[in-house]
Amino acid sequence: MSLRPTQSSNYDLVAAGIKRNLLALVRAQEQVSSGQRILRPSDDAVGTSRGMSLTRQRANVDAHLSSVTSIQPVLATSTTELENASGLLTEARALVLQAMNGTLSDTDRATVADQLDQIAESLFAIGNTKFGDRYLFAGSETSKPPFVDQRRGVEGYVQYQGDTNQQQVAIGRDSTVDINLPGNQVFGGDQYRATAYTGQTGIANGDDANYGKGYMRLFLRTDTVTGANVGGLAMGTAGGTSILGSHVLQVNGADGTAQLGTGPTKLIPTPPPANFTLVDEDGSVAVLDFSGWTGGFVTTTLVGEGSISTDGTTYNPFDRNSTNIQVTDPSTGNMLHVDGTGVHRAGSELVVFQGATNVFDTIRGIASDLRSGDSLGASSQTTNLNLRLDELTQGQDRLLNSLGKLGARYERLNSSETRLRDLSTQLAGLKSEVMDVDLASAVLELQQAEQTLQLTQATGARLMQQSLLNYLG
Amino acid sequence: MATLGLDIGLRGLRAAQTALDTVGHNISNANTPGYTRQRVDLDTSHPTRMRGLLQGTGVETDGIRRITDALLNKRIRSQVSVYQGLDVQLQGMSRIEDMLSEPGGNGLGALFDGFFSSVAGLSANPGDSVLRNSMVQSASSMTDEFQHLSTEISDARSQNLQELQYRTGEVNRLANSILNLNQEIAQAEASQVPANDLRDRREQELRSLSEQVDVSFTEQGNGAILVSVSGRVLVGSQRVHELSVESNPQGEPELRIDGSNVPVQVSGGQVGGLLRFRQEFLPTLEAKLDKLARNMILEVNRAHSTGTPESGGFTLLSGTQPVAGANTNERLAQLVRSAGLPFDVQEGRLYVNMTNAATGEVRVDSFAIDPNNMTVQGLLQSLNGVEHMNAGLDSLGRLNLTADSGYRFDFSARLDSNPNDYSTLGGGRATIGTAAHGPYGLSNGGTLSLQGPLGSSTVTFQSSDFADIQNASAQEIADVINSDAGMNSSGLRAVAVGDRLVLQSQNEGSSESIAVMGGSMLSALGLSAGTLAGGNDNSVQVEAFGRYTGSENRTLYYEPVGDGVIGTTPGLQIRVVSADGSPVAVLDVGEGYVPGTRLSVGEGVEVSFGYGELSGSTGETFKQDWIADSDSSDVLVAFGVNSFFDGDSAGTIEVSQALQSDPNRISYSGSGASGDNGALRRILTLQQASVDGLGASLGDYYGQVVGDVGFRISTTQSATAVAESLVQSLDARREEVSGVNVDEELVNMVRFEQAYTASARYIQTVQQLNDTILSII
Amino acid sequence: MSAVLPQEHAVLNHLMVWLREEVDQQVRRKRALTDLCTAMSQPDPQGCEAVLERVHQEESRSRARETKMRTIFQALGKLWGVSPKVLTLRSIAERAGSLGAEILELREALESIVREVGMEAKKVSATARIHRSVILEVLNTLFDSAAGDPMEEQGRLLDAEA
Repeated sequence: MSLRPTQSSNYDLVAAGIKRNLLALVRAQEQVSSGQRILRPSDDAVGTSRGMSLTRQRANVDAHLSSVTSIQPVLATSTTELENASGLLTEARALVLQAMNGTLSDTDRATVADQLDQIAESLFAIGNTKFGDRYLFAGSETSKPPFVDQRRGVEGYVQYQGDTNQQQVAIGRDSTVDINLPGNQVFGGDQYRATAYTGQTGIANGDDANYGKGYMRLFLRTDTVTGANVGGLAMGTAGGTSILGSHVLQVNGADGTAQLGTGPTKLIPTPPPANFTLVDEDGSVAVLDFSGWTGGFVTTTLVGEGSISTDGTTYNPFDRNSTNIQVTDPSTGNMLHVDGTGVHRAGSELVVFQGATNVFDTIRGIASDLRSGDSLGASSQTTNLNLRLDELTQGQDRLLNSLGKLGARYERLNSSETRLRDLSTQLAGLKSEVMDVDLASAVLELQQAEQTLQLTQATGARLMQQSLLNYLG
Repeated sequence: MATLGLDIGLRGLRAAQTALDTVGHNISNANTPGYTRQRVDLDTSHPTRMRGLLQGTGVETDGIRRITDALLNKRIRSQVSVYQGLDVQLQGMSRIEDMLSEPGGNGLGALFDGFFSSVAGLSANPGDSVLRNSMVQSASSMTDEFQHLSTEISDARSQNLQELQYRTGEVNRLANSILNLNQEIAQAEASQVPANDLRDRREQELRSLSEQVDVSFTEQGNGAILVSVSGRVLVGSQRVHELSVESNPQGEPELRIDGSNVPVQVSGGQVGGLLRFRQEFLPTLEAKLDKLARNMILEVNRAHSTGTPESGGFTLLSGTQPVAGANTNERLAQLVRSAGLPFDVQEGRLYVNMTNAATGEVRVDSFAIDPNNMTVQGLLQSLNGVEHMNAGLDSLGRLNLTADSGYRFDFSARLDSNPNDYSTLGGGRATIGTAAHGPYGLSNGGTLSLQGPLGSSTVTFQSSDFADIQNASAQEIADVINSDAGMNSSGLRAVAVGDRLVLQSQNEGSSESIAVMGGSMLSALGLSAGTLAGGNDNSVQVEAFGRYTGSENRTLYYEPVGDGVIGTTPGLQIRVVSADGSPVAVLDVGEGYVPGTRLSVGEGVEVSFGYGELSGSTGETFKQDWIADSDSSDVLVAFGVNSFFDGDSAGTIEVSQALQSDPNRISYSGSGASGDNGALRRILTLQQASVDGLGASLGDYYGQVVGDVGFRISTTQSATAVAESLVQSLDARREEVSGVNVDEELVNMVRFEQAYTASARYIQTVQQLNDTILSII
Repeated sequence: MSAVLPQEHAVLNHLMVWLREEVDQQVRRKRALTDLCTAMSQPDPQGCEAVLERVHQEESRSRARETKMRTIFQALGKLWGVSPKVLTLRSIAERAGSLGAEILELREALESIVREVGMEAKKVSATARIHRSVILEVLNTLFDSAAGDPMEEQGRLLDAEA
């Protein structure tokens, strides 16, 4: 029978104890130096899952936060630009009112026109502002300039080639913010309400609905006049006849005067001229050939027929008896239905698709109206300017509206930023509770572990000695 | 004698006395023939006194000692197997745990966060090429980590195999040693020489063997110990039957004995532990990481493949996933469902947008995909059916798509801004639409007679013109009419508007007119004889605006109610209905409506109508697709078309090569507009949204995987600690120096029995009390 | 943080005292179990008996302590209008206003020590069981019987295998 020495059993137990305590010491050291309570998933499986979930949540919040901070400058820039634009519109408006008070000379008016053109240029540049590599006022088509200067038709025509969609950025799990504005809603209207005319020629809206944007011109021209060949009279050969529809001509053989409609009575010169100009009260002109006048009383109705053009070049005859004449501007696609029955003279009409004009066209249109001077006749120019001014006012309102929207978005971003930062901090705190070590208690544990280890080692050493003595003795 | 507080009384010791008495009886009467050994019931009390009957008899003392030793050794060996088995698994698992580098900030979790952060950054400024680069970089860092984890697991596997082979060698070495010792012991004891040293050495070897495998032992009469593993003999009476590691048909290692084909089941010892680690822990983790990678690829690619890059579309796209199959014909004839693609193609619909680069006009086409009935060839045909699209398979079996010159395509969920294709509503052409929706139940030989601007004609429908004439599609019927000479020369044509057939004059203008004359198929088509339609000089311009915000794909039809002029006729309306006829909206376009004004139809969609004439009585209509998911079949993901990630597992996931070489190709736009970021926003939602395939978000699933590993390790740790302490205490037990006095030995044993019983009762009490505590925690 | 009513304060104080006592008791229990385990491993039946004797005295107050706990919970339940059965230390801490933080700390300490006691108990059970079965086997071999294990049906001896 062999003896089994006791010291080996003691040794095993002591060694196991030392190993345990050493592990505890190492662990405590790791915790203190890393600040982490959970160093490995096996330290606390539930805590690990929870801590990781919190970390992921926080990262999501931080991602949204970085989105918010990166789009704040975009909104800030848009706001600044629109504020500038608003200032320019105010300036433009003041200039227009000045020009309309009637005391300016031609040169002055030309100067104002130049200034207005410059304002339009500046606004156009603002409309095409870029931030980095994207256009701010293009809706979601940010890689091409939203406004292009088409200069189609007689009226300048700035076309919008962006879209009306929003560029959205996520600022939370279920919330997004729009970071851009569609330019056609900022600098122009895209919802037209009604059609307005200068009214010079007597043309008006017809039966069917109109469809279009911006401004349009209608040029009415007199082609033929009938009813003049009475009493030796005939139409003159010189140009200038602009009557349309029925105008009564009265020639007084007794006092040698002639009157067109309700216009001024004019004394017929001697000898009677081949081209005698009579003007009706509405400003329409009839040039008559009096050279064959018999000298007697003449009462006749002159009827002028004519044609309409949208560009002043291509004319199409129109039916003065139709209440539904369709006129299409081929360069813009704008379509009008006009009533021809009230047309009484030739001339040019400014047609406004109210609510669907942009500020660039409006201001340039005003400038060109001013330059064309009195050729329109002071009252029709005033009418034109008033129509455009209405649109300018609308434009200012829209711009201010857009600024309001931007302001609201900016507010929202700021409050989102605060909320997200708070949430991030909160999540960090929660995670810290789960994962981080309480330094004070960790250090304490470390000290205890060290003490225990020393104690175990000392005890172990004593036991060893004891056993050895037993064995020897 | 001390009293044990909880349970022990005098009775216990009396029971001990009885036991001794009986033993004494048994041994002293061992040679009496016919004497039967008595059983001892420890709880019975017999008043007898202790008699030191067994003192001084050295053999008996030795015998009891040896019985105790033998039983203890048996226990120790099996406990050693359990402990070593657990320990080796714990080591393997811990190494893997280290590799995960969680929950510290260096694992896959932080790289997820980095990826999503870069997506968020780019979504706020999709045009910035530095941010695009950043997104590709972050994505690559993440895929690198996936691959790294996958490689580590493979490495663990090969290390595991090496260990297995080494340990198996050890087993065989130990077995041989035991065999030799068996022979020596048998020899010695046959010649009455004590063989205690040999026995001790053999015990060491047996213990070492138990550390490697869980074995069972049988002691022979001659002192030899036979060893078997899982019922198969390892150390026999004559020779050793060696253990070896072989590969099974799946390429996984299996243990064999003596080269037999039947595998040996080892569940304990280091070998058992290594096998369990390899067969349970590693595959489970690997499968979960693969599942995570797959779902990441699937979800991100779903968003990216239906996105558009800055260029607004593609002139050439190659898929990255080849269709399986050796030769070309086989490939083409395969059903899409079984084409060997890593992701499944579902039943659904694919929308294709074709943009005319010069005019910017976009045509939206779509076709249905049924993977159970469509072959690869069929898919190519459908793709080729899209105007200006060309589709084929390259030599490796990958899908190749090109657009005709001057065109580009994309698969984004666009809202068609000009839905009135062919101007079938308020257009210049004379138009008559069928009241019924397809498919139409025609019959062979059925007729339709129409009057066109240039003459009349009757078309006859043959079965050969249709896949199934009783379910004739609008497109099929339109094709028949358009290829009919008579119809052509009468100045007629037909188009399919969604699933409805619409007849038109070929030219525009108010002088055009068409009429329905007759025919046997009138009611099947929903046409009435005598219906007359004239052309218009004006064509109504229909424009759509906005973005569809709903979650389901829908097709809507716009139908005028009555006839009239837009913006002019009082009360003129357009009804918007679903394909099944259920109403969606009613739009007022009569007097008071300013043509060109945007009307809200619903769910983010607006439509405007220009000036023109509408004729509801002749069935004018157009269809509009509201697309939420432009590829509900996942066919693009399956073929790897316009993918962001390629691969299908943790080991193969990578950012697409095309994007790595040019990050400016990222398809960030969801609507096709260059400033839209819809695809990126969709990817960003993956950070927190639950993914169908995982039942949790990507991040949370990963957290569960890591938590799982942690949990397995911590439970194994406590099991190992307990097992280790058991081994130690059993070893300590065996080391005791006692038993010289047999009486004392037996008394000790019985005393122990009762101490254990008392301890058990104590523990039971403790646990009851602590259960109560835990319930209030 | 909500104010704590005086009646609540008194009861909560009792609770905290009880918690501290309970933690101490658990620490002693753990030490006893560790000592028991060591004694069993030697093996040292006298040592086992000594520990069990020591423990007997300490545990004599266990039932009383349990009753005290129930009384405190009932009092809190009555004060707050909830069934004592649904109260937990965590939910009590939430209602405890300014005392909540300290209660949570004590709760944490208690939870941690109870789990450690559980672990030790597991070890002791496993050790006891394995040694007991060795002894039974020896005795059964000596008396050539296959006696049933009268202890098997009683108590809950936890297995060593996880």
